[in-house]
Amino acid sequence: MEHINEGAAGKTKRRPPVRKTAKTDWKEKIMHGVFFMAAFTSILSLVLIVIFIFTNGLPMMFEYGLTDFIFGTTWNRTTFGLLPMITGSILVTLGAVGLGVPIGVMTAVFMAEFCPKRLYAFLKPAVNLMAGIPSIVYGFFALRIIVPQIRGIFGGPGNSMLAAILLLAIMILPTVISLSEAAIRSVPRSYFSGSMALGASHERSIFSVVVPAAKSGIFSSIVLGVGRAIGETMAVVMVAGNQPLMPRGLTEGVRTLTTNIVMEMAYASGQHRDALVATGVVLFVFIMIINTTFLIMKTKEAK
Amino acid sequence: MKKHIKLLSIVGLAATTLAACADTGSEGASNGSDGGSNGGDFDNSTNLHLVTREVGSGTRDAFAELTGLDDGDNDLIAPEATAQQGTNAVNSTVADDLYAIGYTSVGALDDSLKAIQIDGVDANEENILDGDYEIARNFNVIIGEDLDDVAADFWEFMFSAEGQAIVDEVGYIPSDTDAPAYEGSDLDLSGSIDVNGSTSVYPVVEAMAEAYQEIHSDVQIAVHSTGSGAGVTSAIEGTSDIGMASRDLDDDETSQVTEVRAVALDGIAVVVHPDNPLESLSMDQVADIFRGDFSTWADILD
Repeated sequence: MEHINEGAAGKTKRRPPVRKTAKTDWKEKIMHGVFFMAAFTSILSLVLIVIFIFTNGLPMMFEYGLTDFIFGTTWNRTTFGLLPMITGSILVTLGAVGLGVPIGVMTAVFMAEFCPKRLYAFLKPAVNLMAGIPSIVYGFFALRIIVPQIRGIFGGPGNSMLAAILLLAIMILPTVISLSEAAIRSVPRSYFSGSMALGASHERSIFSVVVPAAKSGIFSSIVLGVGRAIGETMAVVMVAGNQPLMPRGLTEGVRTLTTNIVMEMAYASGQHRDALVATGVVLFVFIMIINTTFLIMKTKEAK
Repeated sequence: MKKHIKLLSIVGLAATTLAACADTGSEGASNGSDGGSNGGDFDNSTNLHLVTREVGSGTRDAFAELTGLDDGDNDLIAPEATAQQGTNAVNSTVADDLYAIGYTSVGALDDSLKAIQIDGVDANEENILDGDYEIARNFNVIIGEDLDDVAADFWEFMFSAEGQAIVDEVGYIPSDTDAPAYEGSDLDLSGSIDVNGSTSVYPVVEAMAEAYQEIHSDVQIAVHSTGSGAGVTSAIEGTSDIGMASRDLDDDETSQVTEVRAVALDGIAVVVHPDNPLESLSMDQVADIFRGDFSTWADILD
C-alpha cells in the first residue's frame, strides 16, 4: 500500500497504471463480497431449511419407530404410516414422467430441428408461457376438464391417480422441452453436417447423431421434470382424491407426500404436526436421492 | 412447392386440433343437457362416490359427531372417501359427479347441489331453527356467574340485530331472526371480557368481539379457542366471563350455570348431484353410507 501511495505522489510516467490497478482491486473486493453474500444467502436458507425439517421431523420418526412410520399403511390422527403416500408419490411421478418425457423430448427435437421458422416464433413463446402458468390454474383446468372426462370414460369418482398423472405430465412439459431443446441446440453443427456428408438422411443424422450427443442435457431435463412432478402440491390436491390408502388402481384416488402435508397442516398439533414435518423429511430425502443420481450420472458422463 | 405443402400440413393440423377441441366441447355440453333433461340415465349399479372433508376440518368433526361416526380421536368416515380441502372443493366435486354424495354447510348450498331430506325433513334454516333437522347443532354461549356491566352489554350485543347479522356474515345461521337493535352504543364502557371455549364457536364470537370493540374502543375482549369442554368448565368455575360450547349442556352442567343461550346454529346438509333420484335418508342410513357400508346406489335406492 505504502509503495503505491509513494508512487502516486511521485507522478512518474510508469506509475499511473499501477494506481489504476489498485483502484480496481478495491472495487473488485467489494463486488467479491457482494457475490459472496449472494451465494451465502442461498446456502444459508438451504441450511436453515434442512435444520428446521430434520430437527422437527427426525425425533418424531424415531419416537414413533422408523419402520412403523415408513412402512405403516394406516394414516389417521393417531397412527402415522407413510407407505401409502410414498407409493403414491412414486407411482404418480413415474406415470407423469413416462408420459410427459417422450412428448417433451420429441417436441424439443421438432422445435430444434424440424420446426418451420414461423411456427417456431409461435411455439417457443407458447412453451415459455406454459412454464409461467400458476400451478393452481393447472389444477383448476384438470378439475374441470380431465376429471370429468376420466369419470365419463372409465367410471369411478374421476378424482384419481390417472388425473394426477395426466396433469403432472402436462406440467413437466415446459421444463423438459426447454432444457432438451437447449441441449440439442448446443450440439456442435459439425456433428450434423458430418453425418449428412457421410450420406445419412436428415432424420437419421438427428436421431442417431445429434440427439445422442445431447443425451446428458436431455437427461438433466428429465431429472428436473421428476423434481417438479414429485414436488407439485396445489394442483395435485385438487384432482388426486387424497385418500390415505395404498394406491388401488389408476382410476382410484391416491395421496402423495406433498398433498399429505398440505391437507392436514392447518389443523394438526402435537405428534400429528411432527408427523407431517417428518413427511417433509421423507420428501427431502427423495429429492436428495434424485439429485445425487443425477450428479453421479453426470460425472460418469464427463469421464 | 415444398413450402406450400408444409403450410398446408400446418393448417391441416391446426384444423384437426380445433375440430377435436370442438368435438369434446359439444360432447361435454350434450352430456350436461342429457343429465339435465333425463334423470332416467342414472345407473343404480354404479358405486357410490363418497366425498368428505379433510381430517381435522370443523365441518367433518361436527358431521361425524352428529351422525354418530365419531370414535375418540379418529372418526369412522370411510378412508376410501375422496377427501377434498374446503367447502367449495366438496361442492364442485359433488356438483360435477352424478354418483357422488357428500356433506356441506347448509349456508353453502346452491342450485348446483341437491340437499337430501333427513328423516323426511328438508335441510333449510327454518327447520334447523325449529330443531326438526337433525344434522344441526347449537353454538351456545354460557354465563356462569352474573356478568359485570361490560360483559352484560357484550351479551346484549351478541343477541342484537347487529350481532346476529355477524353470524350470517361468518356463514352460520342466526339463532334469533328478529333480534332487537343494539342500544348500548352510547354507553361509556371500559374494562375487559374473557371468553373461552369451543373452537367452532370461536370464529363467530371473535367476529362479534371485533365489531363490538369498534364501538367501544376501551373494552378489551379476549376470545380463546380451547374446546367446548373447557368452555363449560371455565364458565362454571368463573375463570372466564362467558363460555362457548358447540354442544348442548347436560342437566348437571345446566344446573350449575346462570344462563345458556344459542348464539348461532350450524347445519350440515347431505348433498348429491341434482339429477340423482335420491330424496330422503334416515340418520342411520347417512351414518352407514359414510361408514362405507353401501357399495352401489342400488343398495340405497332399491
